[in-house]
Amino acid sequence: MNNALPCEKLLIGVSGSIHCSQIGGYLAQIRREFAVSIRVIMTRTACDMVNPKTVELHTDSPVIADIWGTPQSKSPHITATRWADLFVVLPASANILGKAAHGIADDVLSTAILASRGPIAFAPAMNPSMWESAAVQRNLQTLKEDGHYIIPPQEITSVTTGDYDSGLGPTPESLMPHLWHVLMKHTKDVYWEEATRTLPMTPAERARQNLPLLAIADKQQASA
Amino acid sequence: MSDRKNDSNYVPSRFLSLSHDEDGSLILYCARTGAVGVVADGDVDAARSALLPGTVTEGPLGGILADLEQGGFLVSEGVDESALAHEDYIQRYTDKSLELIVMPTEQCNFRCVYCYEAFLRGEMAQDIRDGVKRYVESQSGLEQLTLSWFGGEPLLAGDVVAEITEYCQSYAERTGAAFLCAATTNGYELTPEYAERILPLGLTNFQISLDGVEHDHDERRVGANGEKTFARIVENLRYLHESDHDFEVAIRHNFDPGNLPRVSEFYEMLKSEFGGDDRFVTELQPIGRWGGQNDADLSVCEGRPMLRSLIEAKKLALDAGFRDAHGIDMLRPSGATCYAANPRSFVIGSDGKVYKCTVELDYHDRNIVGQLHGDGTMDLDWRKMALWTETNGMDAGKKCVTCYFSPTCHGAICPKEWMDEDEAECPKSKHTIGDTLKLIRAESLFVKPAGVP
Repeated sequence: MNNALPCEKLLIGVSGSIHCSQIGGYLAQIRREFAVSIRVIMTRTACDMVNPKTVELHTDSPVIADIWGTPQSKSPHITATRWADLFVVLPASANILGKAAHGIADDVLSTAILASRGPIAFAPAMNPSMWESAAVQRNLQTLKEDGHYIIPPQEITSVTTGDYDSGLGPTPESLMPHLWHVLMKHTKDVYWEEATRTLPMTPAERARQNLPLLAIADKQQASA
Repeated sequence: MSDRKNDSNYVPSRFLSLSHDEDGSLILYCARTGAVGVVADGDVDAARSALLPGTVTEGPLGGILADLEQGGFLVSEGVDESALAHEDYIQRYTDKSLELIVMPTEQCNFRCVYCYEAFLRGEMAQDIRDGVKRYVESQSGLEQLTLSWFGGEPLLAGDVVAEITEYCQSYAERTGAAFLCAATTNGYELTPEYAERILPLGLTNFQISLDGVEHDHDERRVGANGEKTFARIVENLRYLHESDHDFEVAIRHNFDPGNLPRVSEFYEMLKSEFGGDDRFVTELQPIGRWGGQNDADLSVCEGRPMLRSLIEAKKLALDAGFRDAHGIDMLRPSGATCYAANPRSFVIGSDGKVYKCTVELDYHDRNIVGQLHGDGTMDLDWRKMALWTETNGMDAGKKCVTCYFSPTCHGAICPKEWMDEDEAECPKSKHTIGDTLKLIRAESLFVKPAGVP
């Protein structure tokens, strides 16, 4: 097994899609496979749908549900977004997508989205008729053009209608590869310049330039 | 399920390639699905019309058009094919496969003129062998385990190879995982005795280089003490050929301007030795300046002449009765993606260092991505891992984003080249797609050529 999970600090924004009733399943899988430390921001509607105390069972700190934060975490829209290696909005309701696309900051989650410096992964989840609406599709396009990442919803069973349909959010399993991709791509982008500043040199190339071998100490093992 | 818009209209895939064969038929390739299809002469006009860019065909489809839809050559209007290809590709982060490329020793009994390795470390110690086995054992729900032996010359550490191969085969049998074991070996130590020992343990796929006819080979693939190597390798291969074992040997021919004129003679020799034995396949690789001590003295094939030579040599190999080891595989979805770009692929050095790329090895710190410990745990530096698994080719504005071939390589034919150069070369099979499709078609109609034993 690998000794470390890839994401040190993950910030999750939970918005008021009924899909948030399944947030516990996501958090369990994310903790097991992906993120060492998790903080959660919840909108007021999300708090009506899921008790934040339940969510806190999976996290290392209290749920952030207020723009004023807590005595330990003031101005969370700034501190939490600076803290995070990756910010994912899960689930992303039509409302939060619209706010994010238009720069509206009228609650703690939408303000955090606006304050975030890095790309955000949005996992939309809503009724199919909303998902297919021109307004939502337009907002998704805007978010992509702004450099954000949209996690495609799957065809799953609707919480509200019981129908099997599209637009209803990713499953925990279908979410994970997207989280990996967004994190690793961002990590690569940040590290790229440093990692490619110098060219690799084979031992023969180093010898031609009278440079010592990188692994010279290991020679002893070879001759042992 | 809700109604989809435009379900009854079809448009050409954006990942298409069309090529005409000598008999007038049309060979089609869709890089997203990996489908290769041949449209017979009578249907060519209908197919070509439907596949013209910008054409919209109303459904329901029938006849050849239905076949085109089935292969992914026609797609429903409105389908985001790029999103589908991306969705397929990112599954590699969580899929249930594991590839370990293990260097049981970095020592080698050859000193090939183009080699870039330094032979610094010796045989893998027991604690690292145990670490490899424990690492495999710690995987849960593994569906595919691939163990590839590399070096140095791996069979110089034949006991290590046998010990770990046997363990992995037993793991796969216990867990139900599929198991593929391969070795990149010079073939010198693949003696009849060792073959009889290792084949039953599961090591059944070999890549062995013969760089031409005897004197060409012996000039390039020289023994560590200057000895000739061709005769013994061929002797070992003859034993395999005469055996009833189930195996595959890919005979790799590294070519340069010096041995190229005798490539026909070389394949005639292979035909007389191994022709008609479908356990032997061929592959070709132009010799390059890979950072070895003789780089300045090497004469290499490059550019379009190299590609032309490659296709001509592949035709000769096919005429001699040998399948291309990688032909159609390189055209499959993700088929031309480098193993180093796979997050579930690790190169394990003989000292337990974990690398991504077998060419870069420890020649740059960014390729040393971790350490395997004796207890089976692996420390990984995710920052370095990200460099290899998320190459620049698919970044906005880069050449791969709009390329029809991108579902095969996803801009990751060679992550190292993206780091070292302004951009990486495209896969050779893309440059030669017309000829490659013809060769694949010819291979699909393959019959034993005249004159093989």
